[in-house]
Amino acid sequence: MRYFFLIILLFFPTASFAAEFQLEQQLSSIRAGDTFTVTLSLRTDADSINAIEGTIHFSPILSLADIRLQGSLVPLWISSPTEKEKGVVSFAGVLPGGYQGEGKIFTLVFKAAKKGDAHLSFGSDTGAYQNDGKGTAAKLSLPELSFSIGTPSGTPRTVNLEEDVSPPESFTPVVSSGELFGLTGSVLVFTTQDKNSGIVRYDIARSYYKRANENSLSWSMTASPYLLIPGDSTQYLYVRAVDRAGNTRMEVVPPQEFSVIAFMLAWWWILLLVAMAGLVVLFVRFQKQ
Amino acid sequence: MRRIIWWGACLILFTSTELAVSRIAHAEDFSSGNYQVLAPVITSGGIYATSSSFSLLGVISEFAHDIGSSLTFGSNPGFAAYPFVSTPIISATAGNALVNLSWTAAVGFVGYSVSGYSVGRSTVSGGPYTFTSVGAVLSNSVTGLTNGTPYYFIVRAFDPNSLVIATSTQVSATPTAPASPPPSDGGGGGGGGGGSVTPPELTATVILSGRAYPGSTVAILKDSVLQSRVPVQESAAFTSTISNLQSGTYLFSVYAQDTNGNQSATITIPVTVVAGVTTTVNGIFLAPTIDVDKAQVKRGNPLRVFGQSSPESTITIAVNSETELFFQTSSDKYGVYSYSFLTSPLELGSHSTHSKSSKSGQVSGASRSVSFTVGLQDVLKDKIVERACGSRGDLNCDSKVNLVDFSIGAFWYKKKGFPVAYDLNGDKAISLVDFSIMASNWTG
Repeated sequence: MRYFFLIILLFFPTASFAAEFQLEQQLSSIRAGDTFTVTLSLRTDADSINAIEGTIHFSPILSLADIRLQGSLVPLWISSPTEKEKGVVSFAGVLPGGYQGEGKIFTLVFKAAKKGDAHLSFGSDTGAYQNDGKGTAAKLSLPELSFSIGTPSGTPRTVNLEEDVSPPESFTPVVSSGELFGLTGSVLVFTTQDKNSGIVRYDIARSYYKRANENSLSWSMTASPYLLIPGDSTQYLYVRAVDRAGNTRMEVVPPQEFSVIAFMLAWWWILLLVAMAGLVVLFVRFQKQ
Repeated sequence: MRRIIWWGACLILFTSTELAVSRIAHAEDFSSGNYQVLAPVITSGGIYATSSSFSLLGVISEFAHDIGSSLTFGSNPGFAAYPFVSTPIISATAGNALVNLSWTAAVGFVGYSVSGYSVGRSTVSGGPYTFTSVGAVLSNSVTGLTNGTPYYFIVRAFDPNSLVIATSTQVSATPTAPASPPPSDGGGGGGGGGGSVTPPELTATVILSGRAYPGSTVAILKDSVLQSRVPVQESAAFTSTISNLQSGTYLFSVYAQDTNGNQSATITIPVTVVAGVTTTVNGIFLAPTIDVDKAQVKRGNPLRVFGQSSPESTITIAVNSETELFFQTSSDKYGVYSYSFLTSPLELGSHSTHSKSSKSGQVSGASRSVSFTVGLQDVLKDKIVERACGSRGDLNCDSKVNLVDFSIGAFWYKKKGFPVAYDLNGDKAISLVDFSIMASNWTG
């Protein structure tokens, strides 16, 4: 009887993949002029996946309007999804500790430019890696997505995307040796995430004040690692992460070396009290004499 | 009778192929040191293969069911004795007359597969529950509930035969009506001055609880960043509360470090939180830690596999080789387990082993894998000098694998001139493979 079941299995072999990237589009019909979304999801089978990368190629009749990261499984982007060349979205991200199950990676917002057949497919450089400590490439399924775009009719449909009002996640910039990056001197290392629209840039500013007002600082664009220059080590360094929607998160790094100016500005009221107390003592002594 | 069964079988094979396909699961070969079951087939047993003239009842595939025994082999009832599906971890977030549930995927092993889930709800802790099938999804919103009443939920996973193959622990939530806005000034009194009063910003809270190892510490990470380390009780239970969260979806990762300093596999749970609401995540069951006593074992000599899990739980050890071997043992009251097996069935070369744990109906996921070599002589593992850092993703050698290491790696991604130590897989490039190795050793 065992062989009976084995025969059945021979008739119906099952294809198995460790993981699958899925492209999904919700609308039943799309007309030229409509704005709509395509969601990239990851579905893993018995393997835990901890790193993904790849490219999505889309037809010229589609125009990429936005990329949203809301609800993404990926907390760390080595290369956040961007349209680096026309019609190609590239991405590379890491899921520390690995993930097993199903979840969203990111959402592409498209505008249908004209009537025709739209097609989305993955590039040959698309891959996923197992959380096995060896970086073993996962057997990957990459189904394509095709749909038709009809002639314009009525008011074009739009997508109601949740406005990003949340700032990027808090983070801790760390002063480290530049040797790690092939640089001479000390560097400031920082990275953070934004759950909705993604980080677009970092800014840096310096001040002798510990609690400087964000708007009063003189900001300049930077990137991690930031090579510390003379004068940085005696001031408070402010690092600001800015997301695509303009929300900001500011973190401060204390001076690495003692600074008389910073000390006086931080503790001026104590110095003032000490000075006043000294004056009082002198005054009392003077009166006694 | 045999003829009836044979014709019945043919009938199923040739006329009800769809029926047959959907109701058969296959398993991988398995064996112990001196016992093998080749090409096993799983059938859930009973009342599934039917036609108008044929009824097939009972388990028919496990030909060695409870009968395979020898002086040196204690028979288990076939592969069904081994934990086969990991238990879902369930989260509950209360809303207005509703509760949003989500759960991690129940992952099948040894050929078992999960085809769907059902949600059970009750107003009494422990049930009985009323079940609703929700399909192959990992979340569900239970609506039409009474605000102020505590509800208790579990999730069941089904195989393609609609048999329950995993049941989550219970989670509770109490639906609550939204707070009414503060009354507007209705005229009257004066008083003056002062600025406007800004209402306190509502934040969300997540409570994570589950099982780890006695005497260990559990690390809780939010979006890959270490939030806290929680001491684990003697019973292996732990609870951690993360507060002051903004609304949104977070990835919470949990891992433990056992009393030998070995790190467990990490469990990652996506949790969507709502400001002003507490989300409860129950049933986290960390996989055992695992290690071996020899980096290389002389073929035929014993290899000891050891680690820590929940106290007095059943530990299944799998050895990955051409023919996968399975062994079972138990952890002691401290959660410690140790099992030695003869390596005579293993081919010369590299192998790996991992383990999983089951207790009180809960089944953990798979542990990390640990490698060993079967060779011509024994080499104790502690004689192998491992690089202090770098090789596990700790690029700045601070004994942590975290965002700083990620930032260093990201700087060198697809660039040339990087320090050799950062090339974790030795392929002369900083690629996503190096990040994968780093991510598997993440400490936060």
